[in-house]
Parts: sequence; C-alpha cells; structure tokens
Amino acid sequence: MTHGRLSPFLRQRLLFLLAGNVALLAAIAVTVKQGGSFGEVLARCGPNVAPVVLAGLSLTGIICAGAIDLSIASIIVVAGTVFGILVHRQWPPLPCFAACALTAWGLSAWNGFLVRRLNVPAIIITLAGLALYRGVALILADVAIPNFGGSLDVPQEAYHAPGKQLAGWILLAALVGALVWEWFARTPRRWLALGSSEEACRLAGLDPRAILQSAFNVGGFFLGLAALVYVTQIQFIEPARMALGFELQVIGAVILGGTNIFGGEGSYAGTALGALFLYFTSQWMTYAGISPYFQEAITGAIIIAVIGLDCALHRRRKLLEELA
Amino acid sequence: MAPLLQLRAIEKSFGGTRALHPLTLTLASGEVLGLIGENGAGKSTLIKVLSGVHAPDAGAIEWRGQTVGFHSPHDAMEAGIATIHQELAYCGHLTVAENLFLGEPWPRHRWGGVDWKNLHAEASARLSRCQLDISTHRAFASLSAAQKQEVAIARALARQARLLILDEPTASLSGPEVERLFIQLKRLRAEGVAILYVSHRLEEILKLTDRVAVLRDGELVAAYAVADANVNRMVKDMVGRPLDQVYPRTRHLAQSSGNRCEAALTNAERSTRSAPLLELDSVSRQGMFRDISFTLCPGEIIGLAGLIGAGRSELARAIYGLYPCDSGVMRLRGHSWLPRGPEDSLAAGLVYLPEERKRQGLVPDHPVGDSISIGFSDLLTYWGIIRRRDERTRISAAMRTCDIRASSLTQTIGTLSGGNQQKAILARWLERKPDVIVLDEPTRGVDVGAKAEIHRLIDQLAGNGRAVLLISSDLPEVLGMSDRILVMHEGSITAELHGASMTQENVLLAASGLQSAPI
Amino acid sequence: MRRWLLPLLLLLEIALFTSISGQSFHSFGEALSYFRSYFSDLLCQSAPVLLLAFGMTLVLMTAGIDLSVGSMVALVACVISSFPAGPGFWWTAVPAGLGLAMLLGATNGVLIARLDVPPIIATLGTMIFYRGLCFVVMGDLEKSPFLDVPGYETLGQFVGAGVLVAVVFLLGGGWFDCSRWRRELLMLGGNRVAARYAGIPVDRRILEVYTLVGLLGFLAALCFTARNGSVSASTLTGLELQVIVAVVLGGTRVQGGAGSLSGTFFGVLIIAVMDEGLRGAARWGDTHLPFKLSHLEYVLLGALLVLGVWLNNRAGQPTGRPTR
Repeated sequence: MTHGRLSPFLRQRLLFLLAGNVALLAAIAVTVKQGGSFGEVLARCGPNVAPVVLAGLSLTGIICAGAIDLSIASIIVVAGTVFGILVHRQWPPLPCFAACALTAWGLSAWNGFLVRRLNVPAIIITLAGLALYRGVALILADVAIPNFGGSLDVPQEAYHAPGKQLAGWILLAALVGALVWEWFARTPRRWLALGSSEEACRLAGLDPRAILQSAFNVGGFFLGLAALVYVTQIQFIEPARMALGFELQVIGAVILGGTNIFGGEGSYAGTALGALFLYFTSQWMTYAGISPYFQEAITGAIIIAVIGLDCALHRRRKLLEELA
Repeated sequence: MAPLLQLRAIEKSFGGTRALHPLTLTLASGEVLGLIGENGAGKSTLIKVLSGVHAPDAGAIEWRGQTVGFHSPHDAMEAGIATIHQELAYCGHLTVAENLFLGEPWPRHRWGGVDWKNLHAEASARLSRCQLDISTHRAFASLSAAQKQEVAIARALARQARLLILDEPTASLSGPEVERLFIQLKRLRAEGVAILYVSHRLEEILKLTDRVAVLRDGELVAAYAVADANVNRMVKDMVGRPLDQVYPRTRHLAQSSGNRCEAALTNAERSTRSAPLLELDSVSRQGMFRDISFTLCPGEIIGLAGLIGAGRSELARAIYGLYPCDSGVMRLRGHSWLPRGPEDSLAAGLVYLPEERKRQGLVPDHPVGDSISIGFSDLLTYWGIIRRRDERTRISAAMRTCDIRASSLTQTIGTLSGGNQQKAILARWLERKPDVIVLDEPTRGVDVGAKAEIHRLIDQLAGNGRAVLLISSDLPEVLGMSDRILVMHEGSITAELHGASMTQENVLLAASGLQSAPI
Repeated sequence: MRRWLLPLLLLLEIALFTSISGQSFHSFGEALSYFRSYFSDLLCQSAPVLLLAFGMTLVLMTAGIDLSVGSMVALVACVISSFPAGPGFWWTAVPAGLGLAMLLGATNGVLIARLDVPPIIATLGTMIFYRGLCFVVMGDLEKSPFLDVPGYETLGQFVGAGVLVAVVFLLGGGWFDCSRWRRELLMLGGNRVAARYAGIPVDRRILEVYTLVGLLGFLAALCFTARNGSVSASTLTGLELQVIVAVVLGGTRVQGGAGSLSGTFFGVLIIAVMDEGLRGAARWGDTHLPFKLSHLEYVLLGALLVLGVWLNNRAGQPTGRPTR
C-alpha cells in the first residue's frame, strides 16, 4: 500500500535489524545461564537504551533534513549541570526535571538558529558546540556552586525517577508518539523533501531554512527527554567526564537504522532498532565474556562496516551520475 | 484578443556579455510558440527571465495585461508561468502525491493529522485530468524520465498555469513517449494554455507548433507561422551569416580548389595515406552506445553530430578512459588500447575537452594560470617540483596562441567570459601537443568572436597533422568544420556523410533517426 | 590580509597572557631569557598539534576532514609503549609505530576514496574504532617505557621537536608549495569532477593525503610521548578539535580548494598560547573570576571555530548553504 513511504532499501534494513535483534536476544538467552537473569536483561533494557534511542530520534530528523548535530552529548551535559545545580539548591524534583529537559530543548533550537543566521554549515556549528557547551556547563557549575569539586552528588531517590523507574515508559510513550507523528504529520515529510532536494523545495515556495529550524526544534524535544533520562540515571554529575563519546553511539544507531547520511531518507523505527541492535550486541559481548576493551572496538568496526557497505553499494551509480 | 504574454524590449547582460538585446515577443492564449536558436543564442537566458530566475536589466514583461516583476521562480509560478526544465528538481524519496502537492496545503483530518487517503485521491485526480496512469504511491525517483516530466506538467497545470515553458522536453524521451507528450500538449492548447516550446529538434517544432521564433545572438531575428517554415529556412535564420566567414576550413578549401566536394575528397585521400591514429571497432557500452566503428586519421576533423542524448559525450568519455567499454576494440596508433583512466589517455597523447566547462572543467575561484597549467605542469616537474619560470613561459605562450584575454595570470578564471574560459581549458590541453583531440561542444555558450577563434585553432590543429573529433549540436559548425560527419542517434551511428552528402537535411534526418543509410 | 593579522594576533595574545600571569621583568636580559624558554616550551608542547595540523591543512584542502587524528596518535602511542624499553626500542617500536600509523591513515583513505564514505562519517567511525583498540591494547594501564629509552627525551625537547617541526614545515612545506601535488589537491578539493576530467588520479591522491596524516600522526606520537613520558588509553581525547580549529583560524576553508600552511602554523601557535596562557593565568582567574579559567578553553575553541569558518566564508566566494 504505502510502498512509496518505505523504499526497498529501508525495508531491507529494518528487516535485517529486526532479524538481528531477535538473533541477538536468542544468543543472549543462550549465554545467560538462568532464565531469571534473562528477564532481568529485558527489564534493564528499557532504561539503558532509552537515552540513545531518544537522542537518536532527535538526530534522525536533523539528518533527514540534510544536516547533522555533533553537539548532542554536550547539550546533555549542560542540561545535566543545570539539573545538578537546581538539585543542589534543593528545588523540588518536578521543576528540576522541567529545567533539565527545557535546557536541552533550548540549546538544540539555538543550534538551528545559528545554522540559519550565520550561514555556516551545521557540521561546523555543532562541532564547535561540542566543545563550547561543555565549557559553558563547567563554567555554570563553578559559578553556581561554591567550591565545586568537579562532581555533583544526587543521592535522593526522588530525583532518579525518570531515569530509573519511568525510563521504559518515557521511552515507550516517546517512541509511540514519534511513530504516530511521523505517520500523520507533514513536517517530517518536509524534512525529507529538504534532504532530497533543496532546489525543489525552494521552487515550491518552501523556506529551506525554516524547515531546517523545525528539525532542530522537534529534535530538541526528544533531546530534552533523552537528557532527562540520562541525567537522572547517574549518581554523580561530572560535567567534564559525563556522556563522553555519547554522540558517536547515537550517530551509529541512526546510521545503522538506515538513515541516509546525506538526508532525504530515514525512519524513527530504524533508529530505534539500530540502537537496540548496538545495545544487544554490547550486552551479548558482556555475557559472552568478551573483554569490555574489545567491545568499543567491535562496535566501531560494526558501524564502519555497515556504513562502508552502504556507501560502496551506491558508489558506481554516483560516479556515473557525477561524470555525466 | 489581448496577448497573454508580451515582452517589451527585454535586455539582459552578464558581466560584459550581452545575452539578450532588446527583445520583443508576444504570445497568445492557446498558442504554441517554438523557440529555436543556436547554442548561446539566448534561449536559456530568455527562459530564466520568464521563469523568474533573473530579472531583466531593462524592458517590461506584461503578463495577462499587467506589468509584472518576478523576484523568484516561485513568484513566476504563482503568477501562472510554469517552467519544465531539462534538469527537473524533485524530491526523489517522497511519493508522487507528495511531490505534486509540495508547497501546497495538504488535506487534513479534523484532528490535525494528514489525511493520506484524500491526498492520494486528489493527486490521482490531478493525474487523471492529464490522462496519466501512474500510481501516486510510488517514490518519485522510481519513475522513468518521461513519467517524471509528465507529472511535472500535471503539477504545473494543477497550479493553474496559463503558460507552460518546456526546455528541451524530448531530450531523454523515446519515440512513443514523445508522441504522448505531443498529444498532451495539443490537448492543453485546446484548453487555452499557451506553450513556449524550446528545442533543437527542428522537425518536432514543425510538427507541434503554431509559430516559430528564431533567436540569434540575443536578438529575435525572425518570427513566422509554422506553415511558412521549413528546416532550411529555420537553419538559415539560426545561423544568419554566410558560412564561409565563420568556418575557415571551408573557406580554405574553397579557395584552394573552388569546388568544395573535390577539395574534401582530396583532403580525405591525403589523410588516408597516413596511418589512422584512432580506430574504434564495434565498441559498445550497455545503455550508452553500441556498435560504434570509425577511424580517425592525422589531419582529419570528424564531426560527431546528433541530438542531445544520442550518446556522443558518453562515447567520448569512454574513449578518454573515464569508463570502460563492454565490448569492441579500440586502437591507438595501431596498438590495442584500453585506457584505465584519463592519465593513460594523456600519456598516450589523447585529450578531451569536456562538455560543461563550469561543472567539468574549472574551479571558478582558481587563477587562470593554474587552470591552464594543470594540464601540462606534470611535464615540467623535477622531483615533483614545478619549474616556475618554465611554467610561466608556457602559460603565457598558451594564452597568446589561444588569444585568451585576461588581465594577468592570476585573474580568477570565474571572472573571465565564457569564450575565454573555454579557450583556457583548450589551451590547457594544447600545450601537451596531443595527437588526438576530442572536443565536446567547444563553442557552447561562447560569443561569436571567441567562436571564430576556437574554430581557427581547430583548423590549425588539423593543418598541423593532429586528429580532431568534434562533437557538436551546432549544425553549421559541424558542417563547416568537418571533413566527415558521423551522425549518432540513440546510441548508434546512423549515417556517415562526406563530400556532397554533408548537408543540413541529411544530418538532421539522420540525427532524428529518419534515414539510416548515407547518400 | 590574513598574512599579517595572524602574527599580530599572536603577539598581542602573548602580551596579554604574560601580563595576566603577573610576570614582571627587571631587565631586558631577564625578559629575553624568559621569552626564550617560553618559546622553547611552546614549541615542544605544540609540536604534536603542529605536525598534525600540517596534515589537516592538506585534508581540508581536499574538502575532507579527519576527526580520528586524536585516536590515531593515541593508538600509535599505546602500541609503541607496549614494546620493551631499552636501546632496541628504536629498531622495534619505532618502525612498528610508523607502519601502524600509515596503516591507520590509509584505512581512512580507503574508506573515503574507494568506498566513497563521506569523510566526516568515515573518520568519526575510525575515531571510535581506534580509540577502542587503544583500550584493547592498554586496558586500564598507564605505561611509560620512554624514560628508559636512550635519546628519546630529545624528541620532547627543543632540539628534537624543533628539528621535526622544521623538517616538516620548512622542508616539507617548502617542497609542497612548489609541487604539482599541491595543485592537484587544490583542484580536487575545488571541483572533484573537473579534477577527474583534468586527468588527476583523484582516488590515489585522497589515499595519499590521509596516509600522510597517519605518518605525521606517528611523528606527533613520538613528540608527545617523549614529552609526557606516559600514555594511557584515554590520552589525547579532544586533540582533533584543537587541530581543526587551528587550521581553520589559519585561513584554510572547510569547503576545500584553498589552504595556507603558514596560516596553519600561526593558528596552532595562537591556540597553544591560549592553552598555555589559560593554564598560567589560573591563579589570576581564581582571584578575579567566579569560575576556573581553564574551562574557558572549551568555550573559546568552539567560538573560534565558528568565527574562523564564518570569516573564511566572508573572505572567499559566498558558498555557504544552510544545511551541511
């Protein structure tokens, strides 16, 4: 029926990931001795994978629209620092949560604004943001907290609700919401249009910059949720060291999920499956006894292999098109 | 009845070049106007002015009785002027329905979500109004070139377009698809839509249009009813000036013997006495060209004529080594030749001047000196370092030989005129003293003076014993410069003309696939 | 204009930080000796960045980017640190490191040239992968055999580092400026299709450039380990950002087609002086500012990157698009 919405390539990728995830789950079940532990694995899956999936939902829209955001991890750090400062000031949990999510949302929207106004490529703006936001977080922490020792302790359980008990539900709600929105809203289709051909959008009377800004705005919403869940899961908030390398995990999940790095093609479902795939891979490697040191290397190798294969398959056609 | 569109004294210049002299043109509703002209005559500039890409420097556009100024292509579309470009801009990953409705409000459910069923229903309705039977659920990129064009036209009509501008619409269409297009256009004409049909294919113009307008060097030199038109008259109006002044070769031959046919034969005889430089024997590549065979001798200029999409540039690229052939044999100087890339060709003394100089030839912000020396500085290196003084001497010599006008060696090549840019790329290769020179549309978008200079250079090359393969869509150029003409149509050679059989009619007929045997 | 602006900026910066750090001179001789040791330290400290920035300049000229340099240097350092110390070090570890570094660089080159993976993604992937390999090689350890290798410290001192930098920048840079290779790289970055038509072996040149970055990364690893004495799996994180910002500040455009080695040289020094200066002015910062001055480094790096690209865009042809 809707074979236009999901190209053969995306369909293949989704099937591959689905099959892969099932296979990995089976492999984990086999490697884990008791049945009880396996249930634990599934239960822990939600909270553990939630930040990556939520951030991935944010990044998917942005990449579909033809841009990228390398600063998502640093945005989470700022949001976390704001959260930590408010906790330190003994604000009640709910306003802290709100402040955390809104900070992340605002910074994402700010990225979009800078790309629009300065006419500098998104990759540069967000690469700069990668460093800049982390520095801002550190400065904020220093300024707001006397004798800041580098880490903020968040002991009370009340503050950890979204990250621990509610993470799975937040993820589910966000994912369902994202899929429904992707299906029934026009904006995601405009992102794909922009990623396909900016020229066609212009000719149709659409404003490419406004479309890109909307991708960052909506992305900010999901990033806010991701920040909330990530930040409330950890015991200590250390602006200098938290979420290091997080953006790479997220980009890996998005690309694995079948989103085209140049824009124009992508899906939320793919991103979620991609994130799950990477998570189950690392879980299986842990249970199979593979040293954690090898894990990062293997994850990187998988991502490179998938991307390399994707690109190589397109290469010949691209070359002919380029020369003509 | 008042004309739908009236252009009064429209002028447009780019830098120092006049693209459109004061041009006055009218178009009525329900009229199909064929716009013809050589390359560089101003057709694409006129289209860009009408479609809102460029604003005219002077003059007025009256549309439906009112003077209008378009600030963007979107303005023109809103006003009712739709342009179907040769290179369609579309969103490949979206469905046909979404492309049809891009930029318009989409049907919504009461609760705010997009009503996909309705969207597809309305899209199907739009398509069926144009008698198109394409599923609106398909991804746009999966449509054939003809289908994409048909949907683009349907889109324009749904936006209440009153003027449809078609730029070389049949370039990538097959015979039956062209027929379908014509039926659709005739139906639109009956509905009162005006059509501006821009094409090189003269027989199509004769078949479809009501009136013909001829552009030459930015001016409208003739406009007449199609009943009064024929191929010869159109070509003559397009070229305008006596052939011998522009094409030195003919003149040289005419002067030397007084009989063009005899002179051509003598020349061919002369060149066949020396061994052929380049031979192609049943060379084919899937989807591009098939069964190509010819020989190219020193001192010979072979013209390769044909319509856009005939496969000439693809053949040239295969000869140059940019892609391999599936079958057949190529021989250079008698030895079997399989270039793995342009480096092999350059080392063997074969060069290729690409078709689109902006996209395939230059880096616009680089200096003209570097753009020229990139072609031969590898011959001047010592341990990888270029000998600067030699380089400068060679560049200056090249600029003098090709008569390139630039303020200095460091002038940015993007700021030179089209003619000088083209000469620069030519100079790049000529400094290597190549034996075989393949030229692809060497005078496209070049002013008359530079054109004559380039022709002089080509003639000199042949005189010095080089072999030239001249690909050109410019009929008079091909006829005037070549010793022999090969005509391609849809990937194969349909005619080989020499001597008395080198006429415009024969070339056009063979290029349109209407006659397969040479006279 | 950039030609005299950069050295001027450098001098102003040095003056600023010298005064902030509370340094005072009682005689000309004292000032002279202070600045002599200052520059010597500066050169040794920034030698790795200088060497890498040379390669990064070439990479940016070809319209590419290499985010993996930090991980690459770290991996080479980790591998050579695993060899036993002693005089044999020079015959075992050093050639091994060289071979490894060129292999790492060539891997990037193959991904980008042969498989057509966009440089940002390819080097992002290899960044994770190489960093993962660091952990595989080193685990949690911190090794330092370098102090026991005869003659090794000279690489960390003015003479050794100075010679390396001089060879690369003066000899290498001098050769490069007059070479045809440079012209080919510029055309490749300016218009890849035109470069192909002009007979430039595009794929081979890209492979060469990234392999060269690997070679320079090897030299950088030598300088770094000689000066720091020990390596662990997480050394040099964030190095690539410093390098890229330095190159961009020096006037090389991110879009390719133009580049300046002398600009890069000053760009690196400007960043290095800023780095040193912020560290040296820490005391001043502690008394005058509510936050630690070193945090400002992140912020400044990010801001300088955006500023540099924005200025480069203004100076050259306006080719900036709102999307990547």
